[in-house]
Amino acid sequence: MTAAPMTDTADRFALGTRNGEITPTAQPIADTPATPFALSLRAPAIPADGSIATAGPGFTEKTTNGGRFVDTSFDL
Amino acid sequence: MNRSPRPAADTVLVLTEPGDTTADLVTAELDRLGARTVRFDPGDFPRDAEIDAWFDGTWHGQIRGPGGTADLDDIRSVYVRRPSKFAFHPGMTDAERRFADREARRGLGGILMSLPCAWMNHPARAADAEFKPLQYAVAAACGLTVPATTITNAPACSRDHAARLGPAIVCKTLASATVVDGDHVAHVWTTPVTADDLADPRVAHTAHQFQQRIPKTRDVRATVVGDRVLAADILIYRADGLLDWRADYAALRHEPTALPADVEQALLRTTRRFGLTFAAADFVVTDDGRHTFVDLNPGGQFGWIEEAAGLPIAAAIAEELTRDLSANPSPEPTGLSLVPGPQPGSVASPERGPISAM
Repeated sequence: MTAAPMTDTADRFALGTRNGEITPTAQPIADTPATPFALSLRAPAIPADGSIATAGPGFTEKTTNGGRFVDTSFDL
Repeated sequence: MNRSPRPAADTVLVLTEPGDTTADLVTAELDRLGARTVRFDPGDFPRDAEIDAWFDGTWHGQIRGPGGTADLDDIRSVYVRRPSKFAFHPGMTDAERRFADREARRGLGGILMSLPCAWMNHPARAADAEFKPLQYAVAAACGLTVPATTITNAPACSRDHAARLGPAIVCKTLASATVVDGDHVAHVWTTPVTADDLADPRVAHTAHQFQQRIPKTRDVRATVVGDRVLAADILIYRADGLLDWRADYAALRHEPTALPADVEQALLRTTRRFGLTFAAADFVVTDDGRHTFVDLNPGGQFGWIEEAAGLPIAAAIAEELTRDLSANPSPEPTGLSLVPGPQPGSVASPERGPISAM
């Protein structure tokens, strides 16, 4: 079974916002004495619209059946 | 386990969620090859899907869901893409849900894993390959060059670690780089750190991975499908350079490329050693053309790079899922061995000089 039409190839892997809010920040995720060191590191700055942030693990694909965004939660 | 399917088996079972458009690429190719495809999402089980099976020495019966019905005797291969979690009656208590989940996993999952068919990838093989420390050991034994690496929660040993890693060090997660905190999702990219950072007392809070930073001039994503390797250069167009290309997808350009023959063969030895028929492997390349293995993802995404670099990955997957396994069976893994292959790999020297600007 093929679930979705193969049209709109330009949109098929378009970037979009993940379910939930992306944190587009150059700040550490957390920074307390109890925070694991890796989470205290500053992430690279990314655009505030979040569109680029979602290109990493968990980026979102746009479906072709109705054009809604679905979080596929995949790892690159 | 990969075993040759029964001769009449003609069905490819695709385990994935409904909105998986990357799986659509593969099912379209399977359609083109004339294969019968049944798409099944464990997330439909048990409320909208059924398993009905019996055992008389082997398993028979059906699995039925919104994507169709598959006779167990007809399944020749299982393609594991993005299956979602089982979804149970909303009235269940947490204890009931945990019980139901365990039973579903052992029942439905156990029957699928018992089938004499090919897998891409078998869940147990994929699970083994998720461990980066094991990846490095297997990759090095198979002939790939791996960065000098430390995994530690001992900040008191930082001087020794810094000496091993050399003057340029990065901190890199051992599992997913994605951190979900309520409705917020953040990423922990591979990040430069100093030797002093290794002594941060918060290193003690969990296992931390520090690696020698390789002075790369480009990245390569090599997607392995069976015995094929489809590779693309990932070129970063950003004035300030970028250590981890995942952090800025818009700054990337992709071009098809080929791995050096010795690197490609070492990569294939690595995936075979793990029993993987699919893997997305990353390399960094220095200005002298040396390829250093970064890691591999047994469930890595490929739809984006198939389109960006024009690589026929979905077609290769469809061919692998339908090939005549009885004529050319996939290797059946007998357990991982770290016995070095014919071209043993190495750990990259930390004395590589200064980091070049991207």
